[in-house]
Amino acid sequence: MSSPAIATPFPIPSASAGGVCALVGAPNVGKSVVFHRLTGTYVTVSNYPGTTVEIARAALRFDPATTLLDTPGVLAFPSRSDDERAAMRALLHERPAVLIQVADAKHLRRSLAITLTLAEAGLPLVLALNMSDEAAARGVRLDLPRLGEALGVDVIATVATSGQGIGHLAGAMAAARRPRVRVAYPAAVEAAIEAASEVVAAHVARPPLAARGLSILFLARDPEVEAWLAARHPAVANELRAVRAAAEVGGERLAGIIARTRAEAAGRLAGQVESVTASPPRSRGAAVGRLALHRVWGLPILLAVLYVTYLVVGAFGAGTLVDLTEDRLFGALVNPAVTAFVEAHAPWRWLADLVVGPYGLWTMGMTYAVALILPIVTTFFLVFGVLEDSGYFARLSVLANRGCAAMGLNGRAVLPMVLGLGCVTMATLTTRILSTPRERLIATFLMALAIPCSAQLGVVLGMLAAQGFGWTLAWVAVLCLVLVAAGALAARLIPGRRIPLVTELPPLRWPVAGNVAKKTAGRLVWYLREVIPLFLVGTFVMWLMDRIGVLPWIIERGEPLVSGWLGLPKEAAAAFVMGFLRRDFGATGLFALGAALSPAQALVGMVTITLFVPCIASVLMIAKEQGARATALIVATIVPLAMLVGGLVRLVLSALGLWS
Amino acid sequence: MKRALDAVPPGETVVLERVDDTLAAEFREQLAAYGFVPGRLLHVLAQRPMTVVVCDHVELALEGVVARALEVRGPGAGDN
Repeated sequence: MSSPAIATPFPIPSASAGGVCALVGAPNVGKSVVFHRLTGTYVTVSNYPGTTVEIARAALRFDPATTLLDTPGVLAFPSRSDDERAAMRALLHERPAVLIQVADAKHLRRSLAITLTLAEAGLPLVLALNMSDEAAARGVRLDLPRLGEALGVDVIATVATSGQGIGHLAGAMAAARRPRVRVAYPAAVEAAIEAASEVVAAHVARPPLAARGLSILFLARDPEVEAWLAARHPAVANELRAVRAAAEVGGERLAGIIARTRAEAAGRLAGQVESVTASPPRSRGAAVGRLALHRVWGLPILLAVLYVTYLVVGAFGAGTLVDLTEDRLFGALVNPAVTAFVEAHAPWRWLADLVVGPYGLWTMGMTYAVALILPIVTTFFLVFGVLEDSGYFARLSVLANRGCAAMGLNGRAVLPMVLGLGCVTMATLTTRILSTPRERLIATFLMALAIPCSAQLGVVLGMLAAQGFGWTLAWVAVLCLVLVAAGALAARLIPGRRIPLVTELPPLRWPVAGNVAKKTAGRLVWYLREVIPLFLVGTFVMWLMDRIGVLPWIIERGEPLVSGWLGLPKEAAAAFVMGFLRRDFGATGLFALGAALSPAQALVGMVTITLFVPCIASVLMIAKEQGARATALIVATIVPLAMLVGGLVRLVLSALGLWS
Repeated sequence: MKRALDAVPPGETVVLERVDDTLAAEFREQLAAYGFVPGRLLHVLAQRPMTVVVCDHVELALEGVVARALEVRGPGAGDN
């Protein structure tokens, strides 16, 4: 199918200069690819639902005065997940002049449920049925003119990855119409909608959505619509609550009736325009995907994946690359040159010390962030991107669900947990994909407590491996025990319910190199922009604490605990304090004690340092995501818990006659 | 014959009868968004480690507590 190239600018009449259009649609339908086609800008694209959390925006190629928003994936409205809430906030606050729903042509019924919701919003709408080539390959035939006629909008078949149909889409956006399709709800629900719509129409001037659409979303308990109305028109919100309460007396929630009626209407409409002319070909990706969950083959496949991850990240990234960057580049060339320059030119001694001293912004903060962490997270993000784009992560969440359930979470938490093995600071941000604040808090707490980041992991494994494989196994066992026990306890103490796992399993596919590269580059840019400043802030804090004598004081005060309870040499106290700045420094500090530590002492030291607070950058990120109070509680729990577990390990080793 | 979805052997296709009230209302609404509405055909692919079904041409994995709350029967005329 040919499509006109987007060469001549043609403005969107319904969007005045400086206006906004918005892409809306389910996860995994190609919204971000369509966004790139229409604007020339990339956003992170993935095969794992729920990875575009932020709203991207850029100027349309064919109408530079109009901004296009790429909203996060929406399963349905009313909004429930963070992604859906972000998308609804965009509709309410950005006031898009045109909506472009990007849908998967293979899954028309589910797509139309969203279309019918967007139709109620009363905004000009275009429906882009993407992946139309895959639908055709499966024998799916869609009567687009009939569908367009039923909806009252233009329906365009697209293949965003190749650009097919994008020209037609651009043209349709310029002539977008308001849908005329309308879902007929049961009489009692329609009465409530009408009553609410009258209130909205009478008292809300220039609502961002049609009165009917706004009313339906409020009655269905969309939290963003409720918040929007309560903030601007509290009296209207109160009236609508009364309408809803009256309609729900003794019966089912309106939200449930609305969702079901809409799904049934979407099914009927899909049935009128969709036909399957051939048996869908057996998808090799789907077959391999089932193998990844097979009771016999699932575990060996998982172990193989973990082993390859270790080879790439552990051996190559943390070994070969870090040796190159930290020792040969920064250690031998860059840092000596920077130090000489600063010491020669700094007007004050304290300034030179701040930049290139033992806790220098360059010699510690930047060296850590760039020479050590950057190579490791780069290889980690590459592997992570491959697993994401292939669709394996959805399987991993299924395999991990039972283990996560023991910690009060569901399998979706495996994504941030695995990311935490790369960098806990970044993984803390990824907890946003979890459904509830409770899950995010538990996951954040557990990552801060018992997930070693890649920098620390490398040093710990190096030290324990030198003592023997059994000691390494003991360390892993203690961590797993603490993880599960702390998670189970947190799940009991933190109010709220656990959300059972329901997840899509997209067909496994060969990862697309371009997608993986874009994802990795996007994450690295984020790391450079967001995480490195936190390392520098943390370094500054440590420098200040050292300058005013707080650091030596903490080390001195900690020595009785370290030598008395943990049974370690008193010099180890400094390692714990260093671990707060750089997690690997904490482990390296113990590593440097070398022959002064017995294998049992090495185990106690590594267990304690692993459980001890994450690096200061992580703490700052946790504060950003969870707030100061929760962060203080997490740190106040982790510090004594780490010491307690370390001491208990010593007692157990003593009881077993292994302590020396 | 009515039974819970988690009791359906892999390879069978069944029709969703109802979603039990034991699931929270919000969760039931989310399931409706996935296509789990009465009358919908579900093809069961696996029951271990979780229940895996095809609903609306999409493979979905459901935790045991969810699969147990979905009441199904054998397909008949008029089902979709």
